[in-house]
Amino acid sequence: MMRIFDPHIHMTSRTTDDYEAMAAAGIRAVVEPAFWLGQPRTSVGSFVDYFDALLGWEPFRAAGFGVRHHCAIALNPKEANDPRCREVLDLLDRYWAKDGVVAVGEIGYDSMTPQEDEAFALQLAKAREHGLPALVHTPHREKPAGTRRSLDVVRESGTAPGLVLIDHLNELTVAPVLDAGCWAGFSVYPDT
Amino acid sequence: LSDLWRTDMAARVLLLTGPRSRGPEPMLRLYRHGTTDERLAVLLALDIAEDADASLVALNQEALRSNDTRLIAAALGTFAARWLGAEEFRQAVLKCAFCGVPFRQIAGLPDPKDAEQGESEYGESEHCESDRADAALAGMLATFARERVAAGRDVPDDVWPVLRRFPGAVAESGLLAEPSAPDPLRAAAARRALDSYHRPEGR
Repeated sequence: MMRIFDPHIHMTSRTTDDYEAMAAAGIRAVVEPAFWLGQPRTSVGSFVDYFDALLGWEPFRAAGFGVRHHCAIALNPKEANDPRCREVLDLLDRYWAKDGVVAVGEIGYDSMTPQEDEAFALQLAKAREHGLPALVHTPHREKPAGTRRSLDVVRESGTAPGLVLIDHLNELTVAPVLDAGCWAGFSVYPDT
Repeated sequence: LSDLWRTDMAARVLLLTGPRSRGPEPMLRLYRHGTTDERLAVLLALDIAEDADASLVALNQEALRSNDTRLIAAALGTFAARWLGAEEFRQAVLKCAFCGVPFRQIAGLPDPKDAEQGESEYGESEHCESDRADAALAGMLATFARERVAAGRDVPDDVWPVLRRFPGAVAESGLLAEPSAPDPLRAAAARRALDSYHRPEGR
């Protein structure tokens, strides 16, 4: 059977039935990037518990199905806009140093606000500092503009494009990403 | 070396118990901010550090609230056998029975062969670090065994050495009447369980 590595899946919102189906299909390793949970967080504490679950419970749960679980850690662009959440940026260094944290992500844009600009650039710089690749989420709305702007930020950061995966691409955004030398990701949604 | 005592784990434990790492603060901080491997190292270090502060049993208690069987097993070493309260210890043993952590990994439960040599000497009021099995624990395990049997399921073998020392707990649980249950699956599970209870392995 073909062995599959899934580089972008949010197992936190998945059942054990899904792990069983994934293992049966040949998935042996995954990366779970940190993101939003649907309900906006309102404090740093809920990030800490979430990150700890990505490093603790979730790998344990995955191992029960023979799946190696890794994660990417970051403040996501949606919640970078809430001043109550931004303080988590001060805690991220300790996570980026951990075994099992294989990337900085998801970073990038949601609504392309100045707060998102700042969190994106800062965390890209941190990725360089920690020698980690970066996983960049592109926005659902204004995707072509958001993708171009993300590529600008990557270029300005001085990060090697080969260490950056730009994800959620579509027909209009794949070409500029490949031209820039970044990895093109197709974690896509049924309707967006 | 073993699955748990890998080289990296031994290195972590050495760092935690070495001369440069004294007092409860580093252990507390590493546990609170640690990955599972780092947390396991803290729990292992507690058994080794001679001067481990009793207040750190809060970390064992936290690990025992988790559902990660590696953390649960590592949280039941000699440090826990010394400092966990009686009811906490019983609940922890029951949790091990429930989630399949082998009893041989629990400090405070004697090796079954040694323990079964003599009469059970320790009542509920006494506290012996090397043998914390008591009638109350046996009562909980017997009830657990009966619940499993009533569902037609098998009972983990680890409970029997404890239950043989406290036959009163088994009688009180109603387990002995289960073979006459009308449901054939339930009655069969009861017979399997009582066979194991009456016929200790290796005898």
